[in-house]
Parts: sequence; C-alpha cells; structure tokens
Amino acid sequence: MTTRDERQLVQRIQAGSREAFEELLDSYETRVYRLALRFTDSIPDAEDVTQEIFLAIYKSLGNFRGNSALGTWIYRVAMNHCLEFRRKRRLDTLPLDEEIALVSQDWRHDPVKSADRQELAAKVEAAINCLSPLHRDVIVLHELQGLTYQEVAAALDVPVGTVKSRLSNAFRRLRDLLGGYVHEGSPTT
Amino acid sequence: MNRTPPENLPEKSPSLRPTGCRGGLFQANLKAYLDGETSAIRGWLVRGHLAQCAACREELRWLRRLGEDMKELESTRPRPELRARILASLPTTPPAPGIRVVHSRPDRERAPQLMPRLALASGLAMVLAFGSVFALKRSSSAITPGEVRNAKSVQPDTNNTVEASADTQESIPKAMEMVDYTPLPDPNNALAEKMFHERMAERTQEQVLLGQDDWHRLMAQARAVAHKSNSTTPTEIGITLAVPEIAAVKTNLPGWAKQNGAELVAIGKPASETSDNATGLPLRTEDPRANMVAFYVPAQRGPAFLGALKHLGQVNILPLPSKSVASAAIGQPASPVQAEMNTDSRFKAIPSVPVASDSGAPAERSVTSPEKHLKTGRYLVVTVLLTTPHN
Repeated sequence: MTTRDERQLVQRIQAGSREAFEELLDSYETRVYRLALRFTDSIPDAEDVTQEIFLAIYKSLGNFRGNSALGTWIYRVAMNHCLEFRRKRRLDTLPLDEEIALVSQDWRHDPVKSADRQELAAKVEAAINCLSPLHRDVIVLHELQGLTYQEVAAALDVPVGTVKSRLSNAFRRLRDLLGGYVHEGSPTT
Repeated sequence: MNRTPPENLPEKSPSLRPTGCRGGLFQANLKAYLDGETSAIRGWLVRGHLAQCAACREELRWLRRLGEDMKELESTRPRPELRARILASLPTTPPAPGIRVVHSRPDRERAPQLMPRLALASGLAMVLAFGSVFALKRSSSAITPGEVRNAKSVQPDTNNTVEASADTQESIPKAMEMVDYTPLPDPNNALAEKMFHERMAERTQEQVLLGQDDWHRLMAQARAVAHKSNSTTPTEIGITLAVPEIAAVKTNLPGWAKQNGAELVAIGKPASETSDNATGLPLRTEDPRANMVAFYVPAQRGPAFLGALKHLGQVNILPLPSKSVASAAIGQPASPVQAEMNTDSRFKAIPSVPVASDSGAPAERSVTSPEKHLKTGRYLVVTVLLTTPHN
C-alpha cells in the first residue's frame, strides 16, 4: 500500500467508512493477531488483545497525521498493547510446558509438515520462548513479523542500533539454546 | 545503509579455515550484515573478515538458515469470528480528527513528574535493604544528540498529561531498554530461566528517571535508607547509567567530565561476578562490549553533573561501600579488540585518561586504554562516585 493509498484509506475511515476499516483489517488483522498471540500465548487472549488494538486504532485514527507509515504506527499501537498485556500478566500464570506446547499446535495440525520440521519448529519455538522479553520482542517483530530494523525501532521506541544489538544478542542466545540442531537438521528449501 | 544482502560469500580452502573466530565484534555484526543493515564501511569490513574466517562464514549460514526457519513458524490465522467481533466493537461515530497527539518528547519530559516519589524511595530502599544488584534501566525514549543540544529543563505539561488518555499509545508504558547486570541463568535450567524473566518483569517497577532537580532529594533518600539499613551515613553515592551514544558527550569524555566538575578516573570492562558481589556495583551486562566508566564528582557539583548526565541516559543511584573497592572493580582490563573496528570516527577524539590524584582518591587506579574501549562500545556503563568533601 503506497503512502497515498494509506492517506486515502485513513481519510475514508475518518469519514466513517466501515468498508475502509475492513480494508485496513485485511492488511493488518492477521499480522496483529500473530503478534498478539506471541505475547499472550493464548488464542482467547490474543483475540481480546487484537480487538483492543483495532479498537484503539480506530479511535486514534483521528490523530494520525501520516508522519510515519501507517503500518509503523499500527505496530506501535499494537506493541504498546502487547507490552501492557505482558506487564499486567503475572508470568507464572502459565506453566512453561504449556507455553511450549501451545506454539507447536499449528504444526501438529498441518499434515503437510513433516515430522522433522515439526520437531525443528517446536525446538525453535521453545528457544524463542526462552529468550528474555527484550530479545524475544525483536525476534518476533523482525524475524517473524518481517519488520525492518527501522520499523522495529519505531515499534519499540528504541534506536535502530539497539535493535541491531538486541538481535545479535538474541541470535547468540538462540545459538546457545539450539546448539547445532538447526544447523544440522534444518532443510534449506 | 548497505541494503544488499550478501549473496556470494567468499570461500577459502578448507585446509586454511580456522577452527574458531576471535573476532567477537565481527560476529556481533553478522546478523546486521545478513539483513543488509550495516553501514557501507562496516559491511565492507565484515565482508573482508568473512573472506578469512570460516567460523564466521559458518555462523552466517547458521543465522540465515535459522532466520528462514523462523519465518515459517508464523502460520496461524485468526478465526473469522474475530473480524466480526472487532467490527461490532467499533463505536458508531467515526474517529474524530483534531485531538492533539501526544508525542514522545512531551511524554519523556513528563516522565519524572509521573514517577511517584514514594515509588522511587521504596525502590531504593528495597535495593539497599536486600543488597541486590541495582539493575540499570534506560528509558526507551532515546535522547539523540540533537535533542541534547536542545535540551531544556524538565517542566510538567499538564495539558499533555490530560490528553494522553485520548491517545492510546501514549497512555501505555513504553518498552524499556534495559542494561541488565544480572548473570544470565543456566540455559539448561528452565526454572532459573523463568525466575530470571520474573525478576526482569519486577524490575520494570524500579526504573527512575532523574534530573537535576532530583539530586538533593535522592541524596537525602539514599542516606536515609542507608541509615535505616546499617546505621551508616554514606559519604559516597554511586550512579550508574548506560550511554548508548557516546557521541552525546562530544567524543571527549575526560574533557566533558572536567567541564562538568568531575574527574574521569577509570574506564574498563565489567568486572568479574566475584567483584560484582563484593562491591554491590552493577558491573555485569548482557552485552560483553559494554564499558564501565567511573567519575569522581564532588558532592557540591552533584546537581550540575547530574543535570549533564541526564542527557546521556537514565540514572539509578546506589550507595557504594568504598571508593577504592569500586575503582578496583571496574579496573579490569578488557580483552583486545579488533583493530578493524576502530574506524568509527565518533570515538577517535578521546585522549588518554589522566590519572590525577586528589585527597579522596584511592591509592591504586587501574585505568585501561579508553580509546580502545570507547571505539568499540555499543554503550558505556558509567559509574559516578560522588564524594562528600572533607571539611
């Protein structure tokens, strides 16, 4: 979506067009939901947070001036909600084993994925879940959500250099956690 | 920015490949290099290193492969019902334009005003009472050099405070960048890992942002708390902070310190865990490239110095057992750094640290080469020892 398209979309939403907001949902609902799922580790919670995020986006769109890309702004709002969720939730409300089990559900139900890939995915997921929150955030935003360093920096409100160092440290930690498994067992296709 | 990801990595004969790489700084840049996020010169340096280092080439392949694998993890799709829920929750009135957005700068400026004074005191008391390492945290609202130039005193903005509630993103706490001095848990110990995360979450409650106006209050609080805990009135207060951009001090740290009434006495790498525990100083970081810097600051210059420091990062305060112990703790020399990485022009102007003596200085000061460390540091960990003058 170009900047001009984004501006027009926002203007239509500000004018009260529900269809325009549905277009925005078409572009961002899945991404925001996946982001929320990463922070909540629970489908119901992820749905609640996603709903809150888009409600907040709708209410705040009147303030959107287009100084940043719409996607960057949406991620910023989404991250604030996700971080707020994390802050409020006690970390001990969900057993660690349950967290790890949750992340591999999609692979278990996908017949296309091989057993090896399921195992690999589960290990990678578990390793990501073992990262510190700061490291996990940059992994989720950059590696899983596909944001650029600049976009991650905007979403987290940190300098780009911080994103770089966190990513580097996160991968170093992942290497410790995963050992040689990914390197040896990961298909290259 | 060099946005072109490396495609064809230079190869060497297997017989020439080293078994390991001592260029930790290059390894630290491999991820950014892979993502095309290094500067042109740094990318060139990394590429040159890759041509000679089989270990780093292997590391790069591993990074690429893991990145590809991780991208495949995200296959979840929301249920169709979610769309209906979202649409049903929208208000019937369109979003009203014209409400002023509260941007990050006013938010940052009002942060000290929003920080409950009592929370600061209790947080400090907790740290002192339990003797734990005080984790330093820095506001995510990074202060750029340009903002340092335009810095002004902290003023409450009641209008923004009220309007913040109208802007969702400004009414929610921002993500924190945290320089963590706690030793990382054993990766094979899930319980330790979980406890580590819990501790990190709790520490977000302890963060404080100090300004010049807070100086006297903090000194009084620190002394009061110390008096309660061990009946000893401290004569020194240690301040640590992370400086993500040393360029903010105009690349001349000794001169900058002198200009602000302080003396730069030591620069070094974080010391061992043993000395960390012995001194109570937060000397460990997750980033092995972090540097420790120590100043001596006369108490009467404290407010002004803190006012200057506040532009560099977020500050936490803790009492120190003694100046000499603290100095010894940060004096451990760092491992040699890669000469190739010394091209960062921001750090070239730093001269050697003068080791001057004063009445309160310890007999031994282990000062390591500041040029070497500052050239490579992602950020500095600064320790400020504020001494009460002997009358």
